[in-house]
Amino acid sequence: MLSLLFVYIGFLVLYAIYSAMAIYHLRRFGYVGDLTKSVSVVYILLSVMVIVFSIILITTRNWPASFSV
Amino acid sequence: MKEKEEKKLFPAQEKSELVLDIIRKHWFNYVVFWFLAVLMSVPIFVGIALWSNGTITISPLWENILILLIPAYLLFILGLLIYGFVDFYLDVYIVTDRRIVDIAQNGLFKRTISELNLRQIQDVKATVTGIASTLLHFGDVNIQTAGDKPNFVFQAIPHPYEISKKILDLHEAYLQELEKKAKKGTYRNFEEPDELDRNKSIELTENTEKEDSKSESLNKTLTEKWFDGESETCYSDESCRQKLLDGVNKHLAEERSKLKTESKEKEGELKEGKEVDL
Repeated sequence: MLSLLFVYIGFLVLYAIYSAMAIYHLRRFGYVGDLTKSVSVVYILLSVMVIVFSIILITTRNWPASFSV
Repeated sequence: MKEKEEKKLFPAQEKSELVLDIIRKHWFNYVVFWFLAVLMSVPIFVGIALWSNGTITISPLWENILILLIPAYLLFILGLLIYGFVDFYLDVYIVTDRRIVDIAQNGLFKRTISELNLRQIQDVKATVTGIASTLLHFGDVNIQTAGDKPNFVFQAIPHPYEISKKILDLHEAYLQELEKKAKKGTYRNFEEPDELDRNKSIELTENTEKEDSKSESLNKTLTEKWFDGESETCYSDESCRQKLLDGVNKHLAEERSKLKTESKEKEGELKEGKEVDL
């Protein structure tokens, strides 16, 4: 069961790298006064909300070392 | 306080270049991503609603798995939306008073910038196909270029007919301006070079600048020669050009009179019976 948690953490790391690249593109190639800034802020807020909510749920659960489906 | 330097819209943009229009694809192109995102997230929200009502029961083991899977799935959908936005919003067509620029953003890692000089335009065609395009007024604008160069296509842009007309008008105005300059003699590079490629317009700009500076320095040299070292350039100043022309005519007249006197002297020597080197 713990291995699934590690997979999830790995996914979060990849997601963070991907998001950083997307936001870099929007900042670097977007134009002054356009939508890119507000979209970046909304994207970051939503992502943080989902991640924080999942961490809260994860910490409240019991995670046995092994499991069988 | 130092003023902030204005951000260039594309790398080859010149200081005096006037940006007339920035065109993006119609918003309908991004709606496709939203539709996909909503379609993908519906099962999640339906499942959560059914589980909270008690309609479906999940074992604690599956609850643990879903606690990891659902946020990952939601983050994946968010990632898809931002990918679509980058692809849609950073795809831009720019129309300036000198050229047309196509900035194509394909995903996160491919960005292509192509340019087309207004004088290279041969024909502009607008096409609207399909129900959505007709109802929402968007379509393609195909700009045909001279020779073997690939055509420029503005894909799914709003109001294609108006934009195609604008581009044609700009092309006409640009050609008229070039003709005027050619008549004045201030524009030397009127003929389009064969090797001109729309993707090499940055090089072209550099070359044109070089040509301009070359002719400017030539004018300067000429002026200095004819006006006793007066540092004056005759690149676009009409009165200066006239002055230069007068100077050249004066010099030619002097040369002619010199030649005349020399030939008279030689004639006289011949009459006297002396040997003369002709």
